[in-house]
Amino acid sequence: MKTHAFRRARPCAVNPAGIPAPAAGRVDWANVATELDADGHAVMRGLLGPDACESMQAMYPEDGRFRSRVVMARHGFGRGEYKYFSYPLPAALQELRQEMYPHLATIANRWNAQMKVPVSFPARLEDFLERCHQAGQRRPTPLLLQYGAGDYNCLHQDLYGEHVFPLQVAILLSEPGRDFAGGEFVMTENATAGVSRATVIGLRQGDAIVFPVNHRPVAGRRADVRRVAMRHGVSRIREGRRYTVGIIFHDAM
Amino acid sequence: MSAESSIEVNGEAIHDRLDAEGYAYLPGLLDASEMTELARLAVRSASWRPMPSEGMGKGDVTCLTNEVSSRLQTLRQALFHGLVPLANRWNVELGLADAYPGSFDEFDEAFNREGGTTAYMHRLGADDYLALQQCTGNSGSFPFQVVALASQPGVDFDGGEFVLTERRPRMQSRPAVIPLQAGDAAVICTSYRAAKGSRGFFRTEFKHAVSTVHKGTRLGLHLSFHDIPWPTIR
Repeated sequence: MKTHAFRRARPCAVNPAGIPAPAAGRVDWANVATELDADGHAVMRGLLGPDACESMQAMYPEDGRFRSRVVMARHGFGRGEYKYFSYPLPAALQELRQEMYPHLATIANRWNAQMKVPVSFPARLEDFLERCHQAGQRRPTPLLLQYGAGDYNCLHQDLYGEHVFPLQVAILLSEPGRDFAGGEFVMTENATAGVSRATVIGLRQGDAIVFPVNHRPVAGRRADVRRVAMRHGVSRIREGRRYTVGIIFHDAM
Repeated sequence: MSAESSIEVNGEAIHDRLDAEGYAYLPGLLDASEMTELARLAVRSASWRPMPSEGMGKGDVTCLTNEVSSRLQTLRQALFHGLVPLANRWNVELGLADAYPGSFDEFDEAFNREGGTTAYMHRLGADDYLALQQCTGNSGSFPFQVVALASQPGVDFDGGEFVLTERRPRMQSRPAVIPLQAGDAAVICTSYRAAKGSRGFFRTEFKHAVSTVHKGTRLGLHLSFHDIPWPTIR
């Protein structure tokens, strides 16, 4: 199934060490904020080039990079598996986590103010992680997920302790139609007043989605703001292999 | 109608899919003439109205009860006969006393009343969606419904994926996306199914939704066996 005939040409900077550099600097963060406010998610098209995607998914068998492996069926999470990276994170991933954090912290602080959540986030990732580590949340949460035919991920929230950074990022490393079929990224939100929605977000290789870990603010009818619970998951992969990298900003107990 | 014979042939396969996933994908169930007829019905229907509540979604809906062709009625009847043994098996597995009548006419009499509908269409334009919901009946529900797509994704509209969620007791919900193309249909669970666990059977709960349409118009058909309250579709 894997051919490279339809690989999209994308500029991909490669640093002297041969690690493809991430492109967080090219992101239109004002647009990300607008989309997040309106839709509850934002897509950053082509955040990673094809080479960066290939080299990141090639890390999956390299056990030395990871602190643990989770087989989802054992926990009732779905079918498929994922591995949590160990510190130090791969350079490209560390760079992405660090570069994206301050932009997302600005949005997160505004959202918390709107939802009257009395938590604000420092401007630098190091300072936020220090807060997590002080509370005993010391283990890194960025992860690489691998799904094969028949696999899926149930609708869930990635919470790992008291300290929660409310936005997270997932980057699709495989190309739909070429590397896999099925495997749609699905989000549901349970609003009050009995209105629930399900949203499918069409992603291609290298696209990243920013979405809420657990809640988002939605404007109510009378200038009030409701706190809406969000969950995300992946529908069954019909064929092929689908890799994603997940960037969660809080660390785990 | 070709659909009828394929239902006969694939009855067991449909049961297997419903047992495993809570839906059975029926690609190409509607042929070109049925698609044309649906488009014609959609254009001439006088009963298009905005969805009655936010809980249903955003977009237009029209009731087709008195307009559905005899072919769609035949399809509904053929599917009923194929599905009723599974409906009754699930009831037994879940320890429910009720059994659905094996005769379509008997069923129709018991589950259809004045003021309800068994067929409607959705018309979703840009930014429209169908919220997560169950279409249960006025006087009891049949555990299956049929959804079909009368527009072509990528040509007539973008987005608008059909989503099914399955809530399992003490476990996370499972999302499914049914890859409908124009003319494709799926049998979906109305609200529950019997799932096999390590200690017998348990009940899971289903809802369905259509993700936001980004552009164009998505015309979807919903066929029900029991009647759904109209216009206050839940």
